[in-house]
Amino acid sequence: MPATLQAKAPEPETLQEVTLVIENRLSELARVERWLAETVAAWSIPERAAFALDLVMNEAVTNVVNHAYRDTGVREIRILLRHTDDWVEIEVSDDGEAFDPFAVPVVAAPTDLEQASIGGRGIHLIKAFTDDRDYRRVAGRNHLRLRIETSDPSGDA
Amino acid sequence: MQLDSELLDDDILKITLHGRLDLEGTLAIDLKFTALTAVKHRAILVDMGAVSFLASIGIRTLLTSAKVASRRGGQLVLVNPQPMVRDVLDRSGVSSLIAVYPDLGTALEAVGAS
Repeated sequence: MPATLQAKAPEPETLQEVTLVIENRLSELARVERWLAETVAAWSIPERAAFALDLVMNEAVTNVVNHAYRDTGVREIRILLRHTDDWVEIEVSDDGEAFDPFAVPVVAAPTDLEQASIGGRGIHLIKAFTDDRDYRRVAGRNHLRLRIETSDPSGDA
Repeated sequence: MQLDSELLDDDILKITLHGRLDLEGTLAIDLKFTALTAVKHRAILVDMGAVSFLASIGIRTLLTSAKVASRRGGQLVLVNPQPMVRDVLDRSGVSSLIAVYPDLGTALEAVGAS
């Protein structure tokens, strides 16, 4: 590579971002899925990353709707999607009870069908299908950020 | 989400699922799936080949029915999941609780069909 190019400052990463606001009811999930499908198609997100994003979005939004609110009032949940060339990220924020999903202790999974619990796999799936994640409580809102890498770690194109 | 069922020889029930096992899809088939799998059969094969998505709500339905089948002395197995659905089954630990087979022939052999 010529020396003039090496000396040049790196190109800033292009970051694209879109937001969807939904109400705290599970029937909103179908609308979220359609929005997500349109966005990942427009951004040409690879199929495997799009699947993981779909999965963790479903689990994260379901958790918020089912567990964040003590009352039955209508509340707003904000879902933000952003991506660069290397990753795609979802951030779900809500004004419900403070809840850090990653602070929940991990229990060893039973390998016997009779002993196995039926539910409670959502947070485990979120961890298993993301490359980076964090939870923050900011100004009375929960923020759950989940990142999935889109570049193929084995490929060198 | 769509569900078809067929009773094969040797008291083996084959259930074919089509579509997404997300919240909406799971709710659409849950009642029928639970009713079908509550009847005792020697084995229940669930063909997952046309299932394009699986979330924890769908896992819940599969595990509930697998437990019921097992308690009644039968077994429920999963057949031919797509690679990414297989990944969800593996990483959620479900494939260590419910047997997963790559195709119908292998599944029939494993459940001892004649």
